[in-house]
Amino acid sequence: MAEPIVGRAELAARRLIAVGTAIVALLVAVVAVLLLLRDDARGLPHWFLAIAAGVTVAFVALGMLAPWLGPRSLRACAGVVSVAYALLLAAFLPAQSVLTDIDRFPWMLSASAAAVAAALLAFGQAGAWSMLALAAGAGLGYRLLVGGLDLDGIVNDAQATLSGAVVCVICGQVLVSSRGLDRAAALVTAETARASGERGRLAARTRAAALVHDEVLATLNLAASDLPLPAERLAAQAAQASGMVISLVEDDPAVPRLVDALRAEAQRSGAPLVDRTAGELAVDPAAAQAILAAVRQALENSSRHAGPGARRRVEVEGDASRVVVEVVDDGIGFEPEAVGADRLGVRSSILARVREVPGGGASVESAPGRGTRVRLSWVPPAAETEPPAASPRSLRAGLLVIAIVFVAGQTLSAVAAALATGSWWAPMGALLVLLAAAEVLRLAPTPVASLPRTAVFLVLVVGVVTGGLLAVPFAFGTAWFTAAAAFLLVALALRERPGSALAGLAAIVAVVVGVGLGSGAGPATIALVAGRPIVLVLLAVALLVAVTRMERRTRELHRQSAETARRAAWDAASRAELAARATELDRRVVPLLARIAAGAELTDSERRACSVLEGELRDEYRAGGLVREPLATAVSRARARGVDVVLLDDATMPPDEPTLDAVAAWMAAAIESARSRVVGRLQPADRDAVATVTVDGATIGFHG
Amino acid sequence: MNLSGADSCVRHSIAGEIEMRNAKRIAIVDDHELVAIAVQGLLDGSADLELVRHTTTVAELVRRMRDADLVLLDLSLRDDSAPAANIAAIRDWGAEVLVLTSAENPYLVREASRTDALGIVRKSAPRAELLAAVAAAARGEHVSSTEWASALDTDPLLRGAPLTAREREVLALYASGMGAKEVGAALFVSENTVNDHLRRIRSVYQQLGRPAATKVELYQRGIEDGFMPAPHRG
Repeated sequence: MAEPIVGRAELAARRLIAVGTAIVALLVAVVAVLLLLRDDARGLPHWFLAIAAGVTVAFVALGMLAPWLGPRSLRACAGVVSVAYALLLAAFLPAQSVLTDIDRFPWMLSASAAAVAAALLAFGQAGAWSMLALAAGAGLGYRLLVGGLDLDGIVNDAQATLSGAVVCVICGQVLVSSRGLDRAAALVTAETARASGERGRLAARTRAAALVHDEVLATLNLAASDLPLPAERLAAQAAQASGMVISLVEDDPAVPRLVDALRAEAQRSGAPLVDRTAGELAVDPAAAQAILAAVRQALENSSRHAGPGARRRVEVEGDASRVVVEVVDDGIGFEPEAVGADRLGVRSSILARVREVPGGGASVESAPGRGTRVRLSWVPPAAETEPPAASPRSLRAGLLVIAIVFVAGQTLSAVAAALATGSWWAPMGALLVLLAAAEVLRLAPTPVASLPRTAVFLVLVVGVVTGGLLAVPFAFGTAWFTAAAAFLLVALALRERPGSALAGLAAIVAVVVGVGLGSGAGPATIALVAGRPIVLVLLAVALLVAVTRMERRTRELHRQSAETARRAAWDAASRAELAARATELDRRVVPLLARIAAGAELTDSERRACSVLEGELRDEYRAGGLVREPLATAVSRARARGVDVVLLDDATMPPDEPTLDAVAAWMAAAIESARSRVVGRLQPADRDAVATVTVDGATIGFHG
Repeated sequence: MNLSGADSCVRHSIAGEIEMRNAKRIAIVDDHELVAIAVQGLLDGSADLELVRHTTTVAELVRRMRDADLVLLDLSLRDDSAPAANIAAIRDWGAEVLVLTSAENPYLVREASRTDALGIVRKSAPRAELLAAVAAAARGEHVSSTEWASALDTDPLLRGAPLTAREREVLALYASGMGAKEVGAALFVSENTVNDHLRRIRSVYQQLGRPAATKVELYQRGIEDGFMPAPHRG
């Protein structure tokens, strides 16, 4: 079986569970020692006690080492510990055989929750349930063998089994949802990197295209013309264009910090920048560019329309997770609804541009005499980092098992208690109230139990403990419903009411202590009755809090790594793109530009070469599928003869390659004899011809 | 509107002076001053066109009192300004606009075509064609070009526009590189009729605006487009 990669969230969850396991094992050991001082397991051979102590130390060591263990070693250690527990269970068989004075199965061995959790870490859900079955089966067997299948034993084993089942389900669920969190984060990171790389490439291509457009085409165009131009000016222009091509790849493609760019932009318009950012902004480069362009446009509009004397300022606030930029003026303003709808441009340049960016938002507020406020914002687009509703089927199955174990265990305990005390009404009444309380919680329509429902639930739970304890003799077995009530409080905590669960626990403990003292029970008995509820509820609440915090922290880490991936992908992609483009331009354009830059008068053939190259570069914008041989050569030859050639790819449905090759061959032949003007065009899909070519005023079509 | 030969003697005086003659004043907005020098060379041959000013941004151009009748505007300036906003600013200033391009994607051409620029011409077009375009624009006439027709002909927006079958035919032929005369010959109509069709196509396209799918978006558009107070045209 291939080892699945353990992600950040899952590893954190595993460590958390390991720590919880150690705490439980330690508590069990402490209680066991207290019991040992009483009567329970006195007389056990020393070698067995040594093994038991060793196993406890192993559990504690697992918890203490967990934060430093990797996924593999954590799994291995958990495996060792759970196997050690199973061996301890097995070792009891020879241990009890040498004894004559032991009369019951020691409690410590029945407390299997920690071992179940360790098995979950080591062997997964199946391992955890197997461990639970093993512990429950061994407990029953040993009780039959050495005694202890009395009320206390039954109650204890029922609650221990239930604890184990709860551990299986809750911890299993924590692992499943953390795995979901990791999977989602991996997807988000990969997708973020891909999209960012895509945008980086696009931005680089745009930058290169803009350079070609602004400098190279302009220069070639001028050089190709026979208009009188000062040679030294043309040379200077060519040198500049050539230098820009060469430095294309050295430019830092990283987008400048948004705040710095905004400050520069504001400064250009003589407006102050109010910087209220907290820490570094983490803005997507595409969003930063859109915001910057929109701010520039908004400032320009303000200076044109806000009226003389209007003051304007740029405000920026935000942090790593969002940014809001506002351009504010106190000018004459306007009534947005009163202005005709025939004006274009501003909408697209200011608002739409920012809105088109994923996560971008833009709005404008204005009123006559009240100034204008343009608000631009960006938040990282809502990425699906929510764990998928973690396999609801396994969860539902787990909850069903817990429900069955709960009902069966409590019914068993109630019957055992009734048989032991000879009174039926108190245990049966308690059982009914417990089941009613469970129903109250189960039927809650919302994930978070409502306050009134919580109140009713608490009254029932605390009521059953109070009434029950007053009605029966105070002992561990007869007070079985106390632990049952604690399980219900755990369920309440799971319905996101941990505070109420703790309050309920405090009430129950108070009642136990009060009634215990009132009935003259010893502190050991009181501790025994109150112990399991305290441990159960406290641990469950602590686990919930820890899991919530862990998930929040993990989400933040995932977000950061997605952000890093985004930047890295952007940088890498745009650098690669620029390098490729620069190399190509260096080969195609720079030699010719260098000749112009040398300043000599251009010969006619050099002029024609400029014209040919200018045409080739222009074709890259517009000729699409027509850029192919033999057409490219024919077009170059025509341009070299002084023919003005325009190639247009207007195909709405791109023709297949063989068709394009045929068109290119056909068009190349058609322009062979052209004298002054050629327009070659791939036609839109709904036309008669696939392509047309107009040579010196005469048009012919290609029909495939 | 041919001028006397005497006028051409003073043609080299660029900018500033208020001319008493009927020469059309032309300004150019382009990143490169060399382009202005080239245009100066281009206009040298015609008596009634005079280059008066070159700036690198529209803001710089319109800061002064209007001193040009026609502005030759580069479609993509280095200052990243939006073509539509630039054209609107020049129209507010009171001059006509002829757009010059190096090479553009059809989206930019479409955006410029939605404005009330008189036309879009490629800088690398043959000298005679360029000069004819500038002269026509200086007379306030629309200037059609293959690139313009091609960008419109392939705009999905135009599919739903109220154009006649004949107008679509004219546009398709024009986009394939024919001139008005050839289109007329192909459709057995006069060159003037073709030009009438082209004018109507232009105005229909200008009125199309942007896609507005829903009422909500239309409403939103009204607010957004109205972000600036209505211009005061002089």
